[in-house]
Amino acid sequence: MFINTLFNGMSLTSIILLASLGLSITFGLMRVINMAHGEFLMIGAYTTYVVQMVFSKLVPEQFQSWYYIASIPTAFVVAFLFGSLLEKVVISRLYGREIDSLLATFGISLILQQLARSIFGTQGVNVKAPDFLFGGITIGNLTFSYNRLFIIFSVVMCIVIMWYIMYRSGFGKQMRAVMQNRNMAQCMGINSRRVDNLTFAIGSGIAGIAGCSISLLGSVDSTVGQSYIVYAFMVVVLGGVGNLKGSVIGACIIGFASIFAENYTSATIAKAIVLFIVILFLQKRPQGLFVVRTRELD
Amino acid sequence: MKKHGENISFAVIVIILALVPLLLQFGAISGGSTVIFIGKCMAYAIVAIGIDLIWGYTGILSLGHGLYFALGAYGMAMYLKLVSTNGQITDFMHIGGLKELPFIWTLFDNLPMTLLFMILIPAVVAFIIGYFIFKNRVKGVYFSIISQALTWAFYSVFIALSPYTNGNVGITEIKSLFGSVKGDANRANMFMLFYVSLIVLILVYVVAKFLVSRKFGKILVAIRDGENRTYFSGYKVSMYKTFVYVLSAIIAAIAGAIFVNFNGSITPSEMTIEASIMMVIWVAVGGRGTIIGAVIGAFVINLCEYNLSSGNLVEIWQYIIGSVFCLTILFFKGGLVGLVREQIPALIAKFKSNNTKNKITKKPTVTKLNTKKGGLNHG
Amino acid sequence: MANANTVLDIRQISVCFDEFQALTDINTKIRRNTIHFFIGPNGAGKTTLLDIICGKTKPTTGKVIFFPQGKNGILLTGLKEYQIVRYGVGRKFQVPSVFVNLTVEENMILSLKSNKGIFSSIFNKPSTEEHHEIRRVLEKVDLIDKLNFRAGALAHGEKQWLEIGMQLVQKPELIMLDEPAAGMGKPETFKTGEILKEIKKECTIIVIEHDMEFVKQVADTVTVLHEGKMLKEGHIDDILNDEVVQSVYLGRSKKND
Repeated sequence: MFINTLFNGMSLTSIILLASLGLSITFGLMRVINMAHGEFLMIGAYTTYVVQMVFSKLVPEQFQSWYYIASIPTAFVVAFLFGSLLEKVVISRLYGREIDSLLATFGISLILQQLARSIFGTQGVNVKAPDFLFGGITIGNLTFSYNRLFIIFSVVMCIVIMWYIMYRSGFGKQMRAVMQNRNMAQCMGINSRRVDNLTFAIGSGIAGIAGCSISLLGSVDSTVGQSYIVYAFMVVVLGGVGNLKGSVIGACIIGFASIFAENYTSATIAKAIVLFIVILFLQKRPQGLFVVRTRELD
Repeated sequence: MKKHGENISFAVIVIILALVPLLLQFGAISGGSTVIFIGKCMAYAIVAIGIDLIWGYTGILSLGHGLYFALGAYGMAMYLKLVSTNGQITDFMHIGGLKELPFIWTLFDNLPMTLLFMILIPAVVAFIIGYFIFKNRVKGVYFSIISQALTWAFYSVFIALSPYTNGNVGITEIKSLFGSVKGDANRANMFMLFYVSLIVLILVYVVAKFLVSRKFGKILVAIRDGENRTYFSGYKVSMYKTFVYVLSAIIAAIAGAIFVNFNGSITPSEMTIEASIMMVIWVAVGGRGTIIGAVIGAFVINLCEYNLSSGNLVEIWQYIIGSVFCLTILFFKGGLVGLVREQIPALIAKFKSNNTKNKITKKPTVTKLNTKKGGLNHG
Repeated sequence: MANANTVLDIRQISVCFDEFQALTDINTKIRRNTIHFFIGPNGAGKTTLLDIICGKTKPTTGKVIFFPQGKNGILLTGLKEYQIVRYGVGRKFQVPSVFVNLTVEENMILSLKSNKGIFSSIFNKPSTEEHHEIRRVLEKVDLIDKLNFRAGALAHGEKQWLEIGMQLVQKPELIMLDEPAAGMGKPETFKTGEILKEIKKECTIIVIEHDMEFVKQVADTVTVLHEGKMLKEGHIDDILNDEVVQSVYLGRSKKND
């Protein structure tokens, strides 16, 4: 019972975290409130669907399941390109105008949702989980489905990759330099426009990978991203804007708390209660769990 | 002149609205449904005024005014429902397993109480939320994100409590305060409702206009432009913010109550985040920071949607509203009002001063598109 | 306790930002109707000290007591910034911060001492005397011709003036000015000094400034801060002759001159 709850908690945490990782870059680092983030999840999910369709037409039967492996990088690339385009056309004009970036990207979100409806119709489409994700490990009378284990695995992968990019690579240094002091970074010869663009695109690409995982959980339609966006934002705010560790812990708190609360009430109400509690907590610490405190007073 | 310009525009809108039922009566407009829709637009204009006070003037972006709109609407809807069932419990409560009317709805079993609580409940909710959030100086996008989460949480709970609220279906099949408004036979009822709503719209406009013209309004602008500086001028900014937040919630609730009279039903979709942001879109496109802008925006967008979103045009409409909104935020911060007041005069001045070939190719096309819509509304 | 001449008593103020010790054990008294300067190199903690007095930053230890004319002392530490302002302590920030979308006159009206509550701000209008007062102050700071200009459209120097005017119209007992002459030319700076000398008849002034000419022109008392500690306090001439001060601050600034 307890282990089951724990596993469900981890599973929900990993889904929420996947959805919020991209945001912790675009919102946390770049201070852009991307309301279209949910639509990047959607783009990833639909990409998975398209790759599956392509495979079912072109690839021999025995390799069918490989579609899913192929769809992960594809989803990343597609979302990356969309993100890069969005940054170039819209976001780049809105740096420093947080509230306006929220509103403008909401307009984009409407357009992308409609685009999905125009292409794929209003009915949800189903992504068939690959064969190797069927079933699960059974220990005693508990079953851990491969599906969920895979999502946990992919979130760990994403975190490792992100951590490497941000803190170990040369580009990560440039990225953090630009986000901390744009003018100074420019003086050091960093092309900040390019860094901005790449950073936003990477954040979007990770959302695409998240969409890939989300497509395994249920049918994919134009509003699939919407149900995650509220959580994703709360995770980033709760964790403290601008750090990866905060987002991970924020997602754990929200994920586990929701599952534990579900033992006592319905899933919807449990989630609502958790949100209320998080909001209450943010009253005490408006800057979130991990604050990067500076002497700057505003 | 500038100040009068706003009031004159509003007077023109009021006169046109006042003529709408007469035009229907004399056959110039066919179908009562258009008039009912314009009635709903008045409700939208009212909520837009509230949003403008909190966002356009004070700079606080709430993504949750749909909640207050819906609270007002549900209160009024339940009263109207109880009128039709003579105070007995409704079908959905029966199905939900309730034996008698729950306490919360007994508050809405007569009109005076309904009018009181339909305002009081949203006001109290807004006060509790606003008081703590603003006291703790949660601001900017953090407020927006929290208000979004709150809206979502309230929405989930509202649906989950379906014996009380009828869940996703909402409260349906209700008549207006003046009886049924559907069909030609009930035209008198509809006109009554229409003019009462128009009067409410005028009152809300006058109150909002009065507030922003006083020192109070300047303080709101001061908070928007420099919150810390306003504290250092000796103002308790958090109280001002809470006050405006509650006020705009009350205005939204009033709008909701009017809306439900025209609409004949209320569903939880009115309290979603998307519905709340749509309200902000009206204000942004009309022109934030001017009361008339909010009114114009609500009418222009909703009338366009009404005319475009039938049949195959639904798709196109979503693209249009998305891009219009995005372009407004990017290039026309003042919305339609700003366009008429500043950008067009500036453009004309530019034309006059340098009649060179170096004209930007992109901007004028967008300008034309927007002015057309502005003209549509004024004419 | 403090004698009748003291308007502000700063006692054992220390501030820590995480690991960083911004101020250490600051003790000083500000005398009524004087111009008191805080000088020191960058990062000495001058602005932090003002932040503490006006309630923007909470000190880690210590207290600040304010003695309004003919009243009991008020403990400022722990009060909210708007309360401190209402007791009569005004503050002008380093970066000119006027309300850019309001006119010069509206900026002044917002700064008036009365009508800070919500309902009075809705229903009351400024009295005739207050309008006279606004005009009198605006004449003093040379902005009377720009009464109906949008404050955002003013030149940098004019914004500084407007902000000083906004402080004056509040009729504070204590005004704190953070680099009032920043970005001003020599004649403008001199004029600022003359204005300060005139207003010290009505109130007490605390100034942060780097311009030594300006300090010499108007200062009654000077406190030198260095790395969050008090180095020296006294008359400007004594300060200028002090060797320690010269080595940390003046020596360097002389070289720059």
